[in-house]
Amino acid sequence: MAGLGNAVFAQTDKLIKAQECYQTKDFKCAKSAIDSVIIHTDTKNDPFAWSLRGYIYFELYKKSERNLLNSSLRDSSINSILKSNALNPEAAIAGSNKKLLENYAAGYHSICKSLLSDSLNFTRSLMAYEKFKFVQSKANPDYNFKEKDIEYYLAAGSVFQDRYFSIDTTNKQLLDISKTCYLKVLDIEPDNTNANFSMGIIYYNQGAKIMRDMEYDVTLAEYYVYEENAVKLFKQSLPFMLKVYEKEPQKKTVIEGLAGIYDGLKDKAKSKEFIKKLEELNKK
Amino acid sequence: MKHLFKYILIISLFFGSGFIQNYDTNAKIKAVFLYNFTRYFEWPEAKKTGNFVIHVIGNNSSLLKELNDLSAKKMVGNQKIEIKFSNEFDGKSAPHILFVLTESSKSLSDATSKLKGKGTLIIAEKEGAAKSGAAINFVVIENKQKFEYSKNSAVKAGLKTSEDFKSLAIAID
Repeated sequence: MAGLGNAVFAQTDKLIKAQECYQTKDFKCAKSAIDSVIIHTDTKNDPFAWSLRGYIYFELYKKSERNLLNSSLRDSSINSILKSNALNPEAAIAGSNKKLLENYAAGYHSICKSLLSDSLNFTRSLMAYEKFKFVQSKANPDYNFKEKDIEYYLAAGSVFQDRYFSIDTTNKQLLDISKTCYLKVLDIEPDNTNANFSMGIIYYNQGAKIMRDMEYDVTLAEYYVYEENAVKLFKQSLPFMLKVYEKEPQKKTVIEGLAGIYDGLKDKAKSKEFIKKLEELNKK
Repeated sequence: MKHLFKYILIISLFFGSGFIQNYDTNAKIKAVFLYNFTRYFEWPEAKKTGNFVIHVIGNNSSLLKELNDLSAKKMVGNQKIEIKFSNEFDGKSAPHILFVLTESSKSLSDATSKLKGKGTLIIAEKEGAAKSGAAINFVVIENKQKFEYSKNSAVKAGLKTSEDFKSLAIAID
């Protein structure tokens, strides 16, 4: 029994040691001590020990793996916090755990934004975003992601849309990603004005680009192939733009868009109708 | 960083992803068709020297821009393309192609009578125009650009053409 008592004290001593090292910012020492604590039978179910481990690994992560999409230190830290939460910690520990998870969620969100805007890496950005959602849901189980999802997919859609039309119109993959993102938004919120408007623009611009890039000396047989494809795109554009028009009949960019789409469809009467509406709005 | 997403979105909606500004697809289509027509007709010998003149009656700045671009890039055989625009047809000269825009269709009957036998291909875009003197009349069928063709009018104008051309058109006679 005396031996068993010593073992328990030894583990408690190690937990104290881990705390001391953590407080003096000797995180290597803290890691060594806490890793021993959480595998010992007497302390492996201590929520405080797991929480402390989460914070120790967090400090190590900050030093060497911050802003990386994949970080084993961060994974260990998050798993430790989740383990602590699973052991029904007292309120103070639960509060600290939540705070750290929220910090990680914010970090993942920041990574997903920079992967999108700086690196244009949608696959990795989406991975970061999914990790953000996972960690955020652990910190706040009732969190409603609808708004964040819409914000993320709209931003991703517009980044790739801009890239395609402004910089690299030969890279169809950019446009595919953009469309996928906007369609994702429309899955969540079918009436979303920005997504409908952007889809309308994408299809219109694709159709107009086909006609603009066509050489003057194409044969009539070739012309009809170009036209077939362009008209198909103008037709695809129309329902998206009409949906926005239903919600915002006074919005000039939408009216201008509809005039362009009907012009592309060679429906002069409809095109003129919207040009007239635009002129009337411009007079006001 | 917090507002980065909103920033990206606003930028793209108002600038980068907007419509292709001031691009008129129908003007391009007309330029492509006009140039194509030059391949299917043979003009009288007297018109095979000097500039190849395309005269447009009506007002359409997008079409003017496209045709000017066409004339800078292409030729008809050895002839340079010259573009003329005017609001009315004065009958003082006989271009190779006279294109009468919809809003100027009232000039059509005057043009057909004045240009008879002078080697001018008259093109219009008004319902029934191919039956009243224009050799070619643009029509839209199910969102597609088509054209009616009157061989009689082309022959009366002094132009020769192939049977192939008829097969590409909606033949009127």
